[in-house]
Amino acid sequence: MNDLNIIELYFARDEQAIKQTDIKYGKLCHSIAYNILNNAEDSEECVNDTYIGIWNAIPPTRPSNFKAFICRITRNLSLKRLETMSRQKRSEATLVSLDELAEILPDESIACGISDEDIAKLISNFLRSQKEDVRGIFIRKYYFFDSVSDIALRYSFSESKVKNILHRTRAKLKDYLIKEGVKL
Amino acid sequence: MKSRRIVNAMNHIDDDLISEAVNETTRKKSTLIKWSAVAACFVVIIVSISIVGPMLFDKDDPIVDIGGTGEEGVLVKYYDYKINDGEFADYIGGEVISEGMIGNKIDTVTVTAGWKNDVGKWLSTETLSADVYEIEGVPKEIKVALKFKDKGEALTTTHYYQISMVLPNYSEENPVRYLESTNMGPANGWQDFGISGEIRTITVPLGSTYIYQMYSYYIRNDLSHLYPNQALPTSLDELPEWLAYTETTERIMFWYSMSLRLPTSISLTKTSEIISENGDMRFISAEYQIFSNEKTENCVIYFMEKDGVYSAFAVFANENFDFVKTYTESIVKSYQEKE
Repeated sequence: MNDLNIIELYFARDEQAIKQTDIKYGKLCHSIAYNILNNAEDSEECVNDTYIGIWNAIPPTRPSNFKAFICRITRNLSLKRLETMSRQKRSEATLVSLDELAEILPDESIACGISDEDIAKLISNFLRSQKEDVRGIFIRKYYFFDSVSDIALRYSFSESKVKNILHRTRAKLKDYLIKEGVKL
Repeated sequence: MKSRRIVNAMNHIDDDLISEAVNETTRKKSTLIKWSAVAACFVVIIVSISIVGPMLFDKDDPIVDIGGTGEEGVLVKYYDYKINDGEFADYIGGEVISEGMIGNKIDTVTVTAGWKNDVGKWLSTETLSADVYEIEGVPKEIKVALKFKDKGEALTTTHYYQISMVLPNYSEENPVRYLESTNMGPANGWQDFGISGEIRTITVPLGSTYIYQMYSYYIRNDLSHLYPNQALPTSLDELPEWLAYTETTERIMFWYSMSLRLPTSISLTKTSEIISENGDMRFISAEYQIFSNEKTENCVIYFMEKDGVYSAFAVFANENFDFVKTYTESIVKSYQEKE
């Protein structure tokens, strides 16, 4: 079933909407939640929460990009859950990817005049100027929290090449942000 | 603190970048060797998806089952077409429709056809000639059928494809303005209703799902947009009956805009008058039963008129019709002029 039809089911308040969403995007949601939470049970609950979130949001929202809409909700809810979980249960891999990015992005106390949306816009612009592979790898890592080994497998690259690409892209992004006037 | 900032910032990157990364990964997941094994099937599938695909798969669905192997693949390109000019230029399509439903030929058009990539950019184009036909029982303002005269890259010119008008994105036109945020989700949301007013369509927090699943609603401001070639009744009181008249199919546009299902008949069962709490606006509440081939639906529609412009707040009940009526009546009574 295509996304427009699924959205119509939500508008009709038809419970098939959730079933069809699960059939089409269940796997994707699970992988996002699992990458962040590193725990099957929590991921499962998070995906269920995602479906409730979608059900509540549509209508009135009519997402123009349903896939990205779902990814965003799953990621948000997973991160919220991660925050409330005890430190011991946190996924180390996730923390590592965040630490890497922390080196290049401004602290709220420093760049307090810049909103998250503004920074995101700059990151989006920067990524658009990169090669498709590079862009994909960066987003897989820092949006979806895929592990380096998973990314290497999916892109048929060696792990060291993926690490190298990520390292170089982070450095370029840092330069880009400085040039755009974001104080670091 | 820094990490949190980054998490939040990354969450706002553009939608197309996110979906591209999802597609990209899926596409590259299979190795070259694996792909070559199914390459032959894949080429056929790409062609079938666009040309005869609608008979086999859901239309426009880029994720396909490769050769029945259960492997998901992402469509990297697909064949699409668009009428170049004239009254059907904006129509989109197109599932195959059976010849038995085809009516008179009404036009001959030129069509730009060709391959598009997964984000809808043309990769190649050709210009083809096609005939436009009426579909029995459907106004041409909503849907028509297209039959190609030139083959182009397609394998045959045998089939008729239905193409339909594109409705505006009403949710975008009437975004909800939330005035409160609770830990159960946003609440107290107002939406434009009529040409200068608003109603409180979201009362309780969105996290409280039960009420919201009992009904779905649609706001249509300025009904004349849906009937550009017809004169609407001069009095608000005549409007409910006018819209229920199904002898001429042109009037079903209003209903089509809400469910994309063409009703076979519409029965107006009751009308009454409602006045907003502030006494400023008078509404006609009209109850209908809508029959289509698939199901019968109960709905109540609140009509209003302001400066000669008609607008409607339409509510379709999924359960507990009486409760839904009471609840949505209170929404309508919240009407106020926007500041």
